[in-house]
Amino acid sequence: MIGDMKLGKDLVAASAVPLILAILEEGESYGYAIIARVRELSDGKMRWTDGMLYPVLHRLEAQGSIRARWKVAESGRRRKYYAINREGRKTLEEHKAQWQIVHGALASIWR
Amino acid sequence: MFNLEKKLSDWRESLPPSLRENRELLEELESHLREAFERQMKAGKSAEDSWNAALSSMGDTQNVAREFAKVHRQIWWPAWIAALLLVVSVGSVLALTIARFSAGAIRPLLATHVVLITAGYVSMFAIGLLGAWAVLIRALRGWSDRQEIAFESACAKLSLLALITTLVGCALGAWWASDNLGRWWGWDPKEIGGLCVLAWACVLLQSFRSHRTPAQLRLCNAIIANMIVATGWFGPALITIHSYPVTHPTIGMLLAIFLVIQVVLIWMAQLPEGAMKMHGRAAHL
Repeated sequence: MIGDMKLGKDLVAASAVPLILAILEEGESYGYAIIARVRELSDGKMRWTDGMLYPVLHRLEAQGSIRARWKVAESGRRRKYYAINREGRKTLEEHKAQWQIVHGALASIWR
Repeated sequence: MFNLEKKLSDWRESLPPSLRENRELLEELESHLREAFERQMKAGKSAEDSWNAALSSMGDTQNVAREFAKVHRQIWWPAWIAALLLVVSVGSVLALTIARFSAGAIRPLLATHVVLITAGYVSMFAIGLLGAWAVLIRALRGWSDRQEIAFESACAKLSLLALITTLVGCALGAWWASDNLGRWWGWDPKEIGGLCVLAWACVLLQSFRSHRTPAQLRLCNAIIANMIVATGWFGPALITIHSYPVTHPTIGMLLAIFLVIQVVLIWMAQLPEGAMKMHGRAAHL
């Protein structure tokens, strides 16, 4: 899932779920667009291997945090779109609280 | 002349079976690949460069297949059978040892040593049993990523258990030997057997925890565990005065038959998946 940035593998893996859920909270999206959004949000510093995004999406779908549906895009090609649901929003709130604790602790010690 | 459809067809063929056979997932990945390719083309790259860039961004498809296998992990009942056999075997030895201890026939140090060594050795046999099962199913019906994940997970846990119990068991054995025989270590065949089991438990743990170990090597390592434990456990009976309930020739014959079966299993592990496939039967075990 790691790209060329110096972020550790574990850190990128740990941040994958909250990032995906946060992106889907902006509106329904599909694999390629999610990866592009991650790149945009991180100024290109986080590059996920495309193939590794889908297992995370499918796991979130299996857990009931997101739902998926096939739609025909403007190009005429079928795309699988993902959208966050109530359970996913709850999970995202939990992740936010946890990451804020980590962020707060690190900000305090590095002040 | 670049042909995108041909490239996509080749790419589909190169995928692991678990991805190739999941039509919905395949369509999703293909849609992604097409999109990535088009974006690269729009950025001004040549068709070949665009395709290579799109493909490399997809990453190693073997890893993707492994991740998907984790998403849809199922109960692998051979692992539960192995765990049940382990519990029953160790439980029986534990009950027997407690009875002997209660009767004053065995001291706590030796009793604990016996139970721990049994747990370690039986754990290794459980890995060997799973390895034998995997070799047979792989040759007869094929082997899926899900089965590989379940096999790897069960064997990693059993290896850790075998390593810890054998290590502590050997240490207690050495302690007992120091108190009763006047030396910690005497290169007795049983001690050497224990050392070999301990060393192989380390090999197995590394083998099942590292994703870099080839699947066939893992299978062979699991089968070799059977050979090492059987030789380490029952081999000393052929050359030492340790008391066993059956005669030396019987032990020797049974051990030889067992070892020959393991050699056959190691040979079978070298066969391609489904090499002995029975047509018309699904690989779901």
